[in-house]
Amino acid sequence: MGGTVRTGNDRGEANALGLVLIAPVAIALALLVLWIGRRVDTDAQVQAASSAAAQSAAHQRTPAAAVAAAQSTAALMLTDVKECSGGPAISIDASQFRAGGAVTVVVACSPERSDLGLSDPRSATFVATSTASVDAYRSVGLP
Amino acid sequence: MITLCFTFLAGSLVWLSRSVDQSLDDRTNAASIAFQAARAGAQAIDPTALRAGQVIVDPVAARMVVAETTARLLAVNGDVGSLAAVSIETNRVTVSVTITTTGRAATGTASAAAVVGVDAPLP
Repeated sequence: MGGTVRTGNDRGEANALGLVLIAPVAIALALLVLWIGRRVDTDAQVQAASSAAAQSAAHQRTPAAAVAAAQSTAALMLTDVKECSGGPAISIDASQFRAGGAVTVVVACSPERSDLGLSDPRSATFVATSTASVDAYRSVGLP
Repeated sequence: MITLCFTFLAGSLVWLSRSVDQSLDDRTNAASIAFQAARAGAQAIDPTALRAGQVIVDPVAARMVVAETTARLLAVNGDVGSLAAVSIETNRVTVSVTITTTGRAATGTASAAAVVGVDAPLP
């Protein structure tokens, strides 16, 4: 390799101010990506939980059993602590719970976000509603 | 210049997430509604054939039940959508539902079959 002699000024520009300004913005952008990702994920999970809860409620024999099944299914599907701190809130409409009727389950979830370093630990509540048909032909046990 | 770049990036990220969230939601809902409509439709069996030991879905009654269930569930969810397709074989009902709440169509397809007995083998 030949020794190339560089002439001229090679002292570049170390833009310290730019770096100081860009670094926080880059970190904020990374946090935004995490926050958005979790938001989309939680939304989908709550929706899936409400759908499964409604389906399991529709398979029960009595309205009381339907309420219990919906609650246990939704709680089981949202056991992740980060998903719903304090467990999901479930309300169930079993007024149409009869053969050929329908049962509606609403699942609400306030996820924990403190691990993302956000000041507001719990501000968003995710709500999903699902309705399932109750079988028209079923064995005895339904009032 | 860099500020503009970051603002644009953050804005597009938020827009992308909204769009993904909404279409994911629509697709899940469409599949869920299609499944419930198919289940309801598969219950519309022909009693005369059942007495002869055959499980046959009554096509006319099933189509009516499927349309009614789809409309009801779309109304419950507050979604705009329609019944895209219904196909009825001997004891199997397959339903496609399209949701167009956001202007972009999301379709879900599901099928259900009527069988006799709790522990009957899957058809």
